[in-house]
Amino acid sequence: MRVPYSPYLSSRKRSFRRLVRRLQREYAYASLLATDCTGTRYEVRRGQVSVLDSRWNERGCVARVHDGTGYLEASFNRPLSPEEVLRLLEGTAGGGARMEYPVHREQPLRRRWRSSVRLLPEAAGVEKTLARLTNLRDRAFACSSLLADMRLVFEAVTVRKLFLSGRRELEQAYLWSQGSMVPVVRRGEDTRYVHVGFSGLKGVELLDEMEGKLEPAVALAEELLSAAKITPGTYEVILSPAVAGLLAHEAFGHGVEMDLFVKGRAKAAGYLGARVGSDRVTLHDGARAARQVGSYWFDDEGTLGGDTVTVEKGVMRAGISDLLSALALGTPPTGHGRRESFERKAYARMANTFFAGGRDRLEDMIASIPRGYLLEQYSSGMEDPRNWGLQGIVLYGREIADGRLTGRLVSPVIMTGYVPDVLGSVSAAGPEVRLEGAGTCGKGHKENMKNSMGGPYLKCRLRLG
Amino acid sequence: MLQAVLEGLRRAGVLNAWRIVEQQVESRELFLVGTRADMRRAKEVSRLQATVYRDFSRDGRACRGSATARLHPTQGRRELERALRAAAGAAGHVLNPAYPLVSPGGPAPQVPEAPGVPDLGGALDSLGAVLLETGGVQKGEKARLNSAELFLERGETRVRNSEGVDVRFGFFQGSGELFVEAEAPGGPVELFQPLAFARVRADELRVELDRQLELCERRARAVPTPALGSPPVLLTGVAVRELLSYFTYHSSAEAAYGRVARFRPGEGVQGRQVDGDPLTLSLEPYLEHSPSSVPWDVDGWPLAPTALIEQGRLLRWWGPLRWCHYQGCPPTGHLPNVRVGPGSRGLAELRRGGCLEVAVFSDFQCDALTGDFAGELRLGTWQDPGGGRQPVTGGSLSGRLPELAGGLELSAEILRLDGYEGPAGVRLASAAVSGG
Repeated sequence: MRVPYSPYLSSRKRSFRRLVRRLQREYAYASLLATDCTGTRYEVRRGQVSVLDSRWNERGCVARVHDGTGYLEASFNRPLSPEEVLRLLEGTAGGGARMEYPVHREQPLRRRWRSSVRLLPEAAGVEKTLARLTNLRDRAFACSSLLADMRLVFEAVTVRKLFLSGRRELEQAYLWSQGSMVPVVRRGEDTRYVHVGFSGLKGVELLDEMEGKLEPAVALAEELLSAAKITPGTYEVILSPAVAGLLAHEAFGHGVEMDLFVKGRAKAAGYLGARVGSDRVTLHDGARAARQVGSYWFDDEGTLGGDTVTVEKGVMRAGISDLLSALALGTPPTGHGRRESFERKAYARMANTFFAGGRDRLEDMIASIPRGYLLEQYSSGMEDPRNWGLQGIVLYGREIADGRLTGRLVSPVIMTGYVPDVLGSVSAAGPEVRLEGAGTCGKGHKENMKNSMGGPYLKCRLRLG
Repeated sequence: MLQAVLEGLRRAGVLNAWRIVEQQVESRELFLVGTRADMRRAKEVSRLQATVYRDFSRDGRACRGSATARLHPTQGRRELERALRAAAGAAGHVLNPAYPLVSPGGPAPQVPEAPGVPDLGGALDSLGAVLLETGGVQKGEKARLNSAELFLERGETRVRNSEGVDVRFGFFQGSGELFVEAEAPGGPVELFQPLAFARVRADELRVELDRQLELCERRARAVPTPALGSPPVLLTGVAVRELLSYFTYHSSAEAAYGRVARFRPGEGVQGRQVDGDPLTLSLEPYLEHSPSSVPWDVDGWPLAPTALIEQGRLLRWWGPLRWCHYQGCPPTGHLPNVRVGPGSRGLAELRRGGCLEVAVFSDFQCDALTGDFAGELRLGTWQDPGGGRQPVTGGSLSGRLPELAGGLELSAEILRLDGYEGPAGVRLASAAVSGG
């Protein structure tokens, strides 16, 4: 099924063009990004059901101009006249020194893209979607007496954007969906839970994937009630594709966002062409590098998405940039200029970030570890691009002793380390790369957005607590 | 127009009740790199969200289903009606037990009006000048401002529902980020501080910047955190707010209804034995410094200060009308701020006997459901039992709050953050510390 384009954007395109032309009379460069994103979030848990509009819903515009020194922006969602938009832009004026940027010269391009999914949310209908989720909840309660709550979420969002400038007219429509299941179990005073995420450039067919994971998720939550605390220390570990993704994202991904190069906040800026990891480390980042929730055809500044190899066989090759950081640094923009919504500024942001696969087998990795852990699901992470510190909170680890999984679990696990040490310690990588993007990524503590991350099973050394 | 469309749909039997939350927002934003403006932005937006309700019975049980729809000022009457009909259709499949909507009346909230900031651009310049002026000067010759972002947002919120509630109030919210850096033997180090403020005070921003510069200088002198085992820990700053949020979560009617709440009214919240300070906690609609302060919640419920925990004992559940109705307790509305009573001893006393004092984490998190907490140390101070103090960085700290709640020791000094006023420090009997 083809994802429909926005009737609103189609109907307003002519007036948006007039606005850009009017702005071009006043400014050396002018562009407009118009958005119309719609989605619904379904939540089911014990004793309650919710149908909510997605937090990613938006409809509005952001105008960007170059005023002879640098760039200014105005965000709005009422039908403003060109003169009102000019007034808003003029209202940004203020004192103090400014960064100087060159005027952006774009290659002409006019194109429209639309994606397809197997089942559009409208075709599935609210009743059937809710029925499938409530059935999953009821199945979960039927299989565990320890279950205190079962939280299920399904969300599908249609992203539709129009970018206009003097030389570009780009339109895209695509749909992503995500889901999660969180069984919460309780025994006595102890409460544990598991978070299993699902995501993709998919429609309601994502629910099929969730169906098959329910019982294992509940069983795992029950297992966590018996999990031990980990003894802090440095261990040989195997990262699941999900935890490898967390490493790719937090350890290295944020650190190569090139707006941080401009600020002098990224240690990676001094490592271009230098070794940052072992030969087994190759990292990709790009909207077209994979098909996941971080995929798009053009970014929020009208730059086409691509596939940037940031690290190749352990050597840092490139960063990822938004338009302004590329202009400041004199590098080509890589199509990573992304906004939380039309209301926010664009920054250099990750799209789909992942380790490339290798040839090592998981069984061999386990067999090679005398004492360590297989880390399987993450909760959260935090970047430290300046100092390359790593923080990741992992839901649980499976103990490995004498080359075998012992069946014992530790939970939760906090992993820390110095990024080049961790990447330098990668000694094996599995063949199959898996990505997921059921969470959100912030820049610091704000500017949340969708992207995906992943990799193969990776063996490395980490400090665990 | 939206209200008229909703009323039309109600009369036609498409829906039974509705609520509209509307915000008019204007903002000015400044992005600094060093002492230069990287970008300036302006924003004027209307945010509009409608919730529609359908009442029906299923298996003899009264149900109220709801669905929300985000609407846009560029939607014409036909498009609005289509979106609301779709939401009403969805609400008909939401089988939740019936609950009432807020009715008009009740005492008006005693909350001061948000400060008027007539000239957002001028206010932004006054704050930006502090950063440009102070940031260029190296504090102690080592630390300086790297970059910053400032957002000033003002507007009005209006809440209406089909019961006749129609309340409106102005708001002002300042926010932003400071990144400071300092030279260290192994290369520059940085610290990051989110900002949230309820009034434009250049002097307060200067104090915060100076504090961050000083902390960053300390980080530059820090050594890797040694493997300390499980020492006593003194948490300070935003980690205190995060840690104590566990107690408000487990006191909520929503958590109780979902059968995940650990506490019950009349019972203790800190376990069977309380050796530390018993907790006293209230929820507040208004704290002078908190930009989250509001007089009414999103249902239009008038908010009032609410005592929640006294001397370690839960007094009542709290929450919006729906969850309190389900639990059969009086509603409090959704209160945005927490006030925690101070402890009897000062920070200096809490440091005695040795502890790891943590000033900055990369991202301290306390899982509200389980009480597990963890964070990577950006800056701490290891105070050995003999009184020696050493700044430390790196490594991690983790623990389980339910096992430590009875021994919490709260500082007499008060900390004020967005949504929080309470002890500036909390001492935990022990937490696992992995070395850096």
